[in-house]
Amino acid sequence: MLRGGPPGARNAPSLEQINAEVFTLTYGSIVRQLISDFEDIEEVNKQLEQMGYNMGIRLVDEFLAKAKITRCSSFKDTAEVVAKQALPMFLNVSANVANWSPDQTECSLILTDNPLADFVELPEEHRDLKYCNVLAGVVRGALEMVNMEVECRWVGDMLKGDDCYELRVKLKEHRDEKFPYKDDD
Amino acid sequence: MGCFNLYIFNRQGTCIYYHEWFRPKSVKQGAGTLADDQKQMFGLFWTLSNFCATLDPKDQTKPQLGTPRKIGQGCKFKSFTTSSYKCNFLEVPSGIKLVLNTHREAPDLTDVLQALYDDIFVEYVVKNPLYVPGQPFQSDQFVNALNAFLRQNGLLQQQQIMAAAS
Amino acid sequence: MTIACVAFIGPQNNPMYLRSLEPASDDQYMKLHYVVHCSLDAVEEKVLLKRGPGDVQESYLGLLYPTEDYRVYGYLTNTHVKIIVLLDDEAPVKDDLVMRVMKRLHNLYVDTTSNPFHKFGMPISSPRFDAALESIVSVYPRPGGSVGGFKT
Repeated sequence: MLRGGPPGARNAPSLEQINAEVFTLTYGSIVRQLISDFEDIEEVNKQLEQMGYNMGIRLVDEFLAKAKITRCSSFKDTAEVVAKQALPMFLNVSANVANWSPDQTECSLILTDNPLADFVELPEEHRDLKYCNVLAGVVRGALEMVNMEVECRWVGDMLKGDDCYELRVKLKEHRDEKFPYKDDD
Repeated sequence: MGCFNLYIFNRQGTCIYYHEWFRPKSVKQGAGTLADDQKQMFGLFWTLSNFCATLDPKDQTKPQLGTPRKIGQGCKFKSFTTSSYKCNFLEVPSGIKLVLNTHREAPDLTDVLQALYDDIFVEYVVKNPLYVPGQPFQSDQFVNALNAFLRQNGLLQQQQIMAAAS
Repeated sequence: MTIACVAFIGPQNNPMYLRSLEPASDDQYMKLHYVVHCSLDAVEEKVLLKRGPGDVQESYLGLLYPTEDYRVYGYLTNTHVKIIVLLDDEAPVKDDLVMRVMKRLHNLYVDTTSNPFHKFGMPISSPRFDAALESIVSVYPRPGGSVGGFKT
């Protein structure tokens, strides 16, 4: 996707689209395979989160390249950007930001629709499975690369009967740039 | 007309990629080893960015020199020109820094650097599953794409580099 | 048109789901199983008949055969899953009405199998499937059931 022409005249990069059902079914098989490999549901939840984290640290570069956001000055801005630009870009769903804590460090991302969990019905024996835990990891990984350390957990899950997917994001630390080399080098 | 070399740093200061097209003064005459050279380059930009943010005449809240900043805070440092080369710089919110040394008459290369990041780094490096973030990488696809892109933008003409150097 | 019973039979002729839409005792369930089982032969016949050279296999098989209580309609998916619908009354029914029901049942089956936790070959035991099936067939009035008017 290289462009010719004078520098300064750039088109928006194109986003490749993939069939949503292929994506949903692929994710479903990953979860099934993890369950049969690990057998312990808590371990599966952790693995999903770790996978999400590994994806998040790479996705953030792609997002910055495609969305051309320069910077977010605060956690509030960041949450808005994630809900209104990043999620639609990658998952084609839009989320709302709500339930801000009084000190503005914690908020909820509310999704009414989640393509990862289309067609899914959680059986009784996997009641504790956090099916969409990969999303929590993606958000954590992506925000860590822009120096915001966050903690993400699911508080609402439509597969378990709630009326929306609610991801609680808590900002632990907004770090400053640190000079990585020691001064005496 | 041409590029001399390219550095890509990540947030931790690791130079994850270095490429040189034309460097008549060898590294040994300058910094000593390549690692030192890269460290110096990183330190240079770190300091310059801090200076720029502190000396910004338009900024209401001017931080003291040396106070830690968050990424993207304050104005951004773009390039500096010396009598023999121009150094162009871009920092992305995720901490990736691109440094491109070119000939002196190069125009403003912010867009070029942005396109380099968007189209080449993200496409061929970030999306590569074998890339470990934070580690130096080698990728032929990346090098080919890089050369083709710079050639298209007119930044890689060897004869003129040779003429300018002599 | 009153739907008395809906059944899904797997590719190896294993019963995957059978549901009677009127209250039925165990005996009646046995009878329904029997009727559906016999209809499988009729399905095979129809399939053989239709397969001439260059014939495209159609999914909807139409009326398989009439018994004394029911009329049996069949539908064959391309993975050899058979959907059998038993209709109760004697009134003539338009074919495309039944075909529409069959298509909706087929879509419901596809959605249910897309669930990553669905086990192929096992009987379908999902409550969501039951509920969705209810809603498909409740469009048509049930014998003895009070639906309270047509739902369109």
